[in-house]
Amino acid sequence: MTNIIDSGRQPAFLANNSTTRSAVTGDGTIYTLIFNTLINGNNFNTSSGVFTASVSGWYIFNVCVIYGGLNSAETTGTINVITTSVTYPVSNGNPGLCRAPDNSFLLRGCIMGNMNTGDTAYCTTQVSGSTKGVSINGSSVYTYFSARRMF
Amino acid sequence: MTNIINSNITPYFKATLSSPIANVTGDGTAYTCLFDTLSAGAGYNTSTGNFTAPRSGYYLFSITISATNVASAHTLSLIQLVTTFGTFSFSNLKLSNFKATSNNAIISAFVPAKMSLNDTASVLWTVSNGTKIVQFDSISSFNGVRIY
Repeated sequence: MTNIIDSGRQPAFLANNSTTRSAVTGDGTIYTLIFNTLINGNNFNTSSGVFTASVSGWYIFNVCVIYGGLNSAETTGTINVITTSVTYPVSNGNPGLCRAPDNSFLLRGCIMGNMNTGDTAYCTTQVSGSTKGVSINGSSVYTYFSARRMF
Repeated sequence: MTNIINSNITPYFKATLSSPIANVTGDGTAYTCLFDTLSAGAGYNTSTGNFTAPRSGYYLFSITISATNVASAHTLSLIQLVTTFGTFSFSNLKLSNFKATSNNAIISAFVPAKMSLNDTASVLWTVSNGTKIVQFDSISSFNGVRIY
């Protein structure tokens, strides 16, 4: 077939987290999200949670986490995607009130942003209103971070 | 680096809001989100809120809506991407429950959509069951890029 342009080598990655991070927030602590398994792609550090752009361009970022151990007092939960030049708030809500019967809550967000070569991107989350008892559940299905260069 | 295809003519835009706009919805008003700054790219009209596709194809839109001054009566928030081709709802929730302690909320999503040449796309936001006091906050953004 002609006229198909395969741009499959655009910088990209998908990583998820399989290990529960216990009691990392809840009292306003800002926690840098760690995704310990690189599913595909490259330039992502599974120890630090940091992606490094190998090529400048516009990237799309997508992040999802599932909290555990929530209570009704934890009334603010946020996720930021933090690049070298810009911090993008991508989600802000009330995990305590919206939590599921098992005291979990899924929060997610996404953004498109410009990256220069060598720029980094990582995600943070912060839950406030109570003590430091909120966990990030280990789940390859519900906790992931991905990025792809669009052009 | 080889094998990276760079296209300087890929249609894209990034529209942002320089300062909050008060009292845009809350009483059922369907508000066409007006981002007053075209931060990058082209094709977005800051007066109408419409992006106009300069080429046909499939586009990926990245939308972030930041709401402030949300009250307990605002029990429904609906966010939609409205294109010439169709309307795509991507968020429908009880905003009064979802809002954080400071009465604000941020909701973001990717929405893919088919666009023909000169088709338009805009973001429509409707908050209902309260008074028209919900504020459209400056963290909000509307972005798009042609995928193919």
